[in-house]
Amino acid sequence: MARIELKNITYSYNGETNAVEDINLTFSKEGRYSLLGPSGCGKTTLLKIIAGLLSPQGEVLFDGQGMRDTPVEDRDIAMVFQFPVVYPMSVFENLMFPLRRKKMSKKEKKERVLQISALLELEPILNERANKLGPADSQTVALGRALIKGAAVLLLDEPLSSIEPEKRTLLRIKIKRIQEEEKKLFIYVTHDQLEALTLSDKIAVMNDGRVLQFDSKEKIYDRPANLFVGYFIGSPGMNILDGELKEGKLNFEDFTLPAIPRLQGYLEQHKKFKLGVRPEYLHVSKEEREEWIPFKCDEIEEKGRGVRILYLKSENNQNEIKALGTFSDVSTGDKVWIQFPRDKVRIYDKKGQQITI
Amino acid sequence: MEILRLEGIERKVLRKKILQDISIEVKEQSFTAILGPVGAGKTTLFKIIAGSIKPSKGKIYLRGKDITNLPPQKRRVAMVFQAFSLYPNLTVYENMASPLRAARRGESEIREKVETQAEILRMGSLLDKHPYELSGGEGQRVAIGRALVKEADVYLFDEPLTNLDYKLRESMSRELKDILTAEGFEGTILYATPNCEEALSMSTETILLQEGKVIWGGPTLESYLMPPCIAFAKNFSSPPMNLFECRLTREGNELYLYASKEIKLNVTHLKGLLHENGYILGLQPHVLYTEKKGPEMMPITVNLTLAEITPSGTMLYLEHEGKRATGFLQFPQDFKEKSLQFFVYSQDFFIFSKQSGELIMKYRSVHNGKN
Repeated sequence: MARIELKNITYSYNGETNAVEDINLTFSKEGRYSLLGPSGCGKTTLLKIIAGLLSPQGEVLFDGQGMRDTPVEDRDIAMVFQFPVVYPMSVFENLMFPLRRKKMSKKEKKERVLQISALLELEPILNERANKLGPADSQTVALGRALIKGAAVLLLDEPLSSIEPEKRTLLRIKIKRIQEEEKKLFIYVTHDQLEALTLSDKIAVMNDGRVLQFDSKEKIYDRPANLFVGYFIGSPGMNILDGELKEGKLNFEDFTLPAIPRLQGYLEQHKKFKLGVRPEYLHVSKEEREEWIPFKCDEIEEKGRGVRILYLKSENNQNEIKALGTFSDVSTGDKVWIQFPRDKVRIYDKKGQQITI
Repeated sequence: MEILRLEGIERKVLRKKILQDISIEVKEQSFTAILGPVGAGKTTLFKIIAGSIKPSKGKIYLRGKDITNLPPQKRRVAMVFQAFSLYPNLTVYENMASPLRAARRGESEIREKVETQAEILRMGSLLDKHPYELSGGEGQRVAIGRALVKEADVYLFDEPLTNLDYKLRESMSRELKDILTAEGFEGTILYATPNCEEALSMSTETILLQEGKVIWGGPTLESYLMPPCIAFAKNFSSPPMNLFECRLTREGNELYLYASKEIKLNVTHLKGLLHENGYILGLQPHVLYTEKKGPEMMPITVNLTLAEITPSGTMLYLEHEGKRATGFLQFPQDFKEKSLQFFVYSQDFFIFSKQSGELIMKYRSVHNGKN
C-alpha cells in the first residue's frame, strides 16, 4: 500500500474560517514529500487529516479506498511530532513498545529493535531511560518507535523545530538515511525551506489554507508558480518589480527591458504585470555593458561563505532589488550594471500568478 | 572612546563558574556581537551588565563610573530578551511607555517619545493593540521599541531574532541594523547571538564567548577573513571551517605539511616559520569547488553524508579519509553519487599552531611568495 489521494479536502475548526480549503493532492508510493509553509498555513491540519485525527469534508483515499470510517490505528501510518513523545522507560523498551501486540517471536522483535537502533545510532543509549534524554536523542527514539512496526507511511510534523539548532544536522542525516534504507511514503511538514529541499523530492507550498504549488523541488525553486512561492523560498526571496507594457517594451518607470514575444499577446491586453527574478540569477558588472541596466549599490550585507547581498537601487530610486553572489569587487556607493537573464525572468499577473502561455 | 568596561567578571552558581575572568572594553557607538553557542554565558553576562544579577567578582564601569553595585533602574542600560516579555494586559502603547513611567517621566514626554519610536519602527498602527493581537514579528518589534524608548547608553539585545521564523528573521535583521546604525541613534549595542551570520552581517566588533570565557575579541570582518585562532575559525563559519591535523614531513630536500595523501602542502620555502611538529590546516567550506578550474588545483576525494539544500546554497557534510569535513556550494544542488571529488587552491589553506591554536599564516606557494 501507499498511494494517498486527497480530493477536495476542506476543514474548519470553528465553522467560520477554513483551516484548509479545497486541497487536491496525490502522494505516490515510496515518494518523499514536504508540506511547506509559514505557521498557520494549514500544513499540520492537512497532516492530521491524512492521519485520521480530523474528519474533513472531501475524500481521503489510501490506495483508492475511502478512509472516512477507518480510525487512526487502522491506517497503515506512523507519526512523529514536533515535541518528542517518549515513555518513562528505557530506550530499548520504548522501541519494543509498539511491537507488544505484534505476532512475532521474542527473538524477531529483538532483532527488529536492534536493526532500527543500528540505523539511528541508538545502540550506546539503549539502556538509558528515554525521559532523561535531551531533545535530540528523545526525538531520535521517537523516530525509531515510529519506524519499528514498518508502517507504509511515515508522517513527520516539524520533527526538528524543537531540537537545538546545532543538533539538527545530525537528525537530518538520520532521517535521510531512513529514507534510503526503509522504503516508505514520507510526508514531512515544515516551515523551513532547507528541510523541505533536503528531505523531499516533491514539495507542496501552502499559504492561508491553500496549496499554491505542488511540484518537484527544482521547479518550485526555478519556476515559482506564484509570487508567494518565489518570496517564501530563498533567502533573500525573489525580487518582485511592478511593470507595465509601454511602446512594446517592459517598462519599470526608470528603465525598460525588451519584450517577451511569447507573452506579448497577454500583455497587450492586460498591460500591468509583475516581474520576478531570483537574486542569485542577476548578473552584476562594474563596467557599462550594452543593454544592461544601471543601478547603484546602496548597501552590502556579508553573508559569510564568500557570499554577499547587494541592495541595489535603480537610477531614479524607483526600483529596489537584491543580488546574491560573490561580487568581491563591488563596494557601497558603486554604480553597477545589471543583466536580467532572459531565461530566468518570470512574469506574473496582478494577483501574483505566473502567466503561462 | 570606550563606554563600557568589564574587569575580571566572574559569576558562580553553587560551585560552577558560569562566567570567569571576563574583561572586555566596548567602544562608544559600536555594534558588538557577543557570539557564542547555547550555554556560553551570554544571557548571564547581559544580566550582570543590566544589573539584574550580581557578579561574584569583578567590576563594571559605565562611562568610567563604577556601577557594579548600582540597581538596574539607575543604570543607563536597556535590554531586549529572546522571548520578548510584553505585559499581556497592557496595550502596545502602555508596554512601550512602561520604562518611562518607571522613571517617573511626565505624560507629554512619554507620549512624544513613544510615538516617535513607534514611527521609526513603523508600528504606529499597533499602538492600541494588545500583545495577543500581534504576530511574532510585531511582538518582537514592540519589545525592541520598548527598549529603545528608554534612553540608555548601552542597549543589550539577547538573541532578539532567534525565535522568529527565517523569513521574518531576514527582514527583521536588516530592519534592526538600519535602526541601530541610523544617524541620530547614539546608543551602543551589544548583541548576543549563536548565529555567526547575524554577527557578520550586523556587527562591527565581535567577542567570542565559550563556556563562560572570552576566547577572542576584535573587528568582525577582519577576523572573519583572517581567523585569529582555531576556536574562532570553528565558530565563525557555518558550516564550520574544515580542520585537518597535519605533521611536518621531509621527502628528499622538500618539506611538507602532510594531512592526507591528497592534502599535502609544500612548505620548503616557509621552513623558517615552522618550528613545531604538529599543525592544523584550516579550509573554509566555500572554497571547495566542484570543477577543476586550473592545473594548480588539488583534488580532494570525499564521501557525502548529507547535502543540505537551500536556494542560496548547499551545505555538504562530508568525510575525507574517515574524518569529517564540510563544503558549501553557492547554488542549490542535490547529489545522487556518494563518492565525490572536489578541488581546492593551496593558497586557501590557513596554517594554525596545534599547540596554541593560533593562526600562523595563510599558506602561500613559492609562486605567490615571489609576487
